[in-house]
Amino acid sequence: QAANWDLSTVWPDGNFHTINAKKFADEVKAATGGAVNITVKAGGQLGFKGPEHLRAVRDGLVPIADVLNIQQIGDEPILGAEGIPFLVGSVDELRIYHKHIRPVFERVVQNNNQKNLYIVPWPTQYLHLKVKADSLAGLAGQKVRCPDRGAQDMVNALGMTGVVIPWGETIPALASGAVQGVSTSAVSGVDGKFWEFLKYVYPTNHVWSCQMVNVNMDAWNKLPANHRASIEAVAKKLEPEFWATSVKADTDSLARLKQGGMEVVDIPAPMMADMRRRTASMVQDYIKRVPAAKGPIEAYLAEVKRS
Amino acid sequence: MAVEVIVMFVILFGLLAGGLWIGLTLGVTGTILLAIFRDIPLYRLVSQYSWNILTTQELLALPLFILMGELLFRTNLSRSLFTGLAPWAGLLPGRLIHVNVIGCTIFAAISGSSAATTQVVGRIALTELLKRGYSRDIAVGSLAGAGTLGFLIPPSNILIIYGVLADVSIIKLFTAGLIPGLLLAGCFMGWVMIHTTLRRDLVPESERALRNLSWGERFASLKDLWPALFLIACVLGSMYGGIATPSEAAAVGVLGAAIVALAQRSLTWEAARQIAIGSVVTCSMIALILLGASILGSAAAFLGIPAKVAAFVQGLGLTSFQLMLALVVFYLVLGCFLDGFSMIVMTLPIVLPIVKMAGFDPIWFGVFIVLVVEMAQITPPVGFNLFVIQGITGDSLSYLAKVTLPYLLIMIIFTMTLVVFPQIVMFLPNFLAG
Amino acid sequence: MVPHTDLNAGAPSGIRWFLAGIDRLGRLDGWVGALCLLALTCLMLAEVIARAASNFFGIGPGVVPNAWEYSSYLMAAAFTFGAAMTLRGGGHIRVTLLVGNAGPVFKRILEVTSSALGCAAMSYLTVAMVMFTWSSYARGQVSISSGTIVWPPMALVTFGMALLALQFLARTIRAALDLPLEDPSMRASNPVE
Ligand code: NA
Ligand code: NA
Repeated sequence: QAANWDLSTVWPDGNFHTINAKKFADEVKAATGGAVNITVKAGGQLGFKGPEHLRAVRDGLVPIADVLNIQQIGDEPILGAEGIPFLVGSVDELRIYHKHIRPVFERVVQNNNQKNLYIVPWPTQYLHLKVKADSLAGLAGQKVRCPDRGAQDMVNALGMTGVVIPWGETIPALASGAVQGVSTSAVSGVDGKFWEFLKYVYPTNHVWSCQMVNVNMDAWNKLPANHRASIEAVAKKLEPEFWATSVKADTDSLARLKQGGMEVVDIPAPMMADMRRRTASMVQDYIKRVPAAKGPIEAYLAEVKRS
Repeated sequence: MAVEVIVMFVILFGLLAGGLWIGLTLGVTGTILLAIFRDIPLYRLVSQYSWNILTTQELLALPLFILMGELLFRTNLSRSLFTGLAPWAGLLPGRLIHVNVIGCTIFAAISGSSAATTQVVGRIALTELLKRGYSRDIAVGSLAGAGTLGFLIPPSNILIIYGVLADVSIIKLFTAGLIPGLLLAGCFMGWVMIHTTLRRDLVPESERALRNLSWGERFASLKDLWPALFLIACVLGSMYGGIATPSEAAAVGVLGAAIVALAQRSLTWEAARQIAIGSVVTCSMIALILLGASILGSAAAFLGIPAKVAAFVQGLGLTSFQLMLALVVFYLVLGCFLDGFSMIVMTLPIVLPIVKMAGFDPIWFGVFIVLVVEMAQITPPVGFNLFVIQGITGDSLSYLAKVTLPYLLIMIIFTMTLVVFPQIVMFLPNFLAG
Repeated sequence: MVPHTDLNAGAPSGIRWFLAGIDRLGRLDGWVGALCLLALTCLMLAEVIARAASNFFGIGPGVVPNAWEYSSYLMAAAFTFGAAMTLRGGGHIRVTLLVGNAGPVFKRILEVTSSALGCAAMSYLTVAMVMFTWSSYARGQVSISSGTIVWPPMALVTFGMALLALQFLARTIRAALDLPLEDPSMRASNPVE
């Protein structure tokens, strides 16, 4: 008997994560001979918002979902471990970090009655601003829209003012000058046509986050062992390809921002060092709050020789 | 069509006809559907959905605009709009009838509600027009028609709800509504001029004297428009002046309305009590419907109902013009019995995917939806603008519907024009987006 | 204020007190809802003023912490808190085509069943919300945008829903006893849209 799974995601049809999920669904269908049918329900149409996807899968409200890890910190703070400012500076560093942090993620996810199939990062985060400066003093007081408290704390630590408002309010607020910057990826920058309001992209790579495609354990255990094995194989095969789409989405979007007239600022080394220095305590703060992160973070820092 | 769709319609219409409240009907239908066709812990689902919709930050402007409308309802804005506009309207064929249309257009730029627009403008203007001997038919009809502009000209409660449900930028919807709103107002004024020119008896002969007012008097009268202009400045000024986001601008509007009310010394304790009750009641009424709609909408998405209906409609092979004509008829019928909010929230999960598939922009469709909701405001037996006017004049619903008919026809023709020339809607949002 | 007649006068005394109690709660609740509305307006205004002061005069912090998030909780409270009063005033929308044109007996049957169904639906939702709130409390769930514990606003919303369920129960009783179903003094004096 065929299993029909609705995959819930808040991202729209055109988003690369959703495109990836659809590809995953197709390959799962082929690999299981049509026994596992995943229907991607995009754009949040099933009525779930991002921060409740972990719970929705846990409680069996939906069998499978594309879960944004940093949005789950209200339930599982450890899932925000990639959101520590300036801990990870590139996709390559993120790969190293994942060697250590991913087993922890998988365990936490398991405790929530679900199994992680694959993880794909969001492209790196930038500060998109109106002004150009070669020191943090030049950016003081700029109002920068942030998605959550973590980002707001970081922006505040840098001497700017973090503003937490809904995404839909952000664009008009940028247009009128009520806020003067946004902390987000280049992909979202293109979505918001930032070149109409902002001039400069600062490649700060300050925080990271990942989409985790998780399946409910009860639904998973109902499948015969051979189908579970083929789904795992599909996920394992596709994950590197999906990471490549993330990198490509970043490159393409940055090119589009430049084409729109934005300038990618070459951040001077002292300014970058200043940013790291001002946010350095946030790593320790995080470890204090989430002790489970201590081991993986220290192992990672040792491996990238920054401990 | 699929069994889910049939079951949905049976439950929905059964409960509606039985007199169950609309919000509950929607929620119960969605819950029953999921109980029958899906194995999900429903109590978890409905509680999560309820919490989600009630705390949706994109909805924050709605209670604020409602509060603002309640405040304005207690001010002397009605009289000052009339005295400020009358000397100018007197220049046009149709004379003071145009106060209805222009007054509604101006108040629509302050208020997000259509009935409030009708109410505030009509309260003084209608009595005044009838006293001066204008034809009742045209005085009442033009007010009912023009009052609907409250939804089309931004800000608009209907567009906020549509934006939340359809997941489109509310500010883009607002800009999209502006040009069609002004054009529709122009159409109404055009009809008033044609109508009164064809039928001389509609306007009393004595009113010709209005043309002889001095320009000094006309300009002097403009000072009466200050409360209205002040409020427009509060909302739009704070939004475009780099002070407030669109939702926050609504809070500035509330402050502005309170200032006007205080300046006019109309904010008594009794008025404050009425404002408090009125706002809370309106908010709760809308919230219950939205809550039910979000449950039904998600249930429908779970069961793939929109896709199934869309596939069915696509199978009919309609051209996009035929599709929209069919939708206008569909909404006209529905609008006779339902209010605008319910109509949108009940149909959108199914209609929007179809419309998108036919190649229409969801921003454009927002304006279309507003127009059909406006039509619903003036069709009997359930038409809120008609109720409002009935409250002022005591006329029967059938009489009101009859004299409003020309304006309804204008709106239908206007809507179909937008289908043929969607750029009328899309020009401004596209222009502002570069 | 005009003293209004007791609309529950026709009920047996025990039930009469119950009905009057629910009405009083609903009215009180409406006022709490109004206070929530006022508070959210002030919070949004404070955010606007703080930003304007910072953008134009360079003074102040530029933001009111968590203004949007807390406003959304106040909105949720305002939305649910007035619901019971709105029902009592006849403010919730329904299609009255059948109810309005039915004969007295059939009309009474319809009113009793629709009110009972409303009571059942709202009771179910209330129980669901109680469990939802409880699980949030038990897990120590916090909001992601500010780290605020979320069960207190959830509890407020749940309470508002419980009162609506009670008001539906009262309405069912009234319909069965053929008492007046709606209290015009709990109605807004102008139309809703
Ligand atoms: Na309006
Ligand atoms: Na109607």
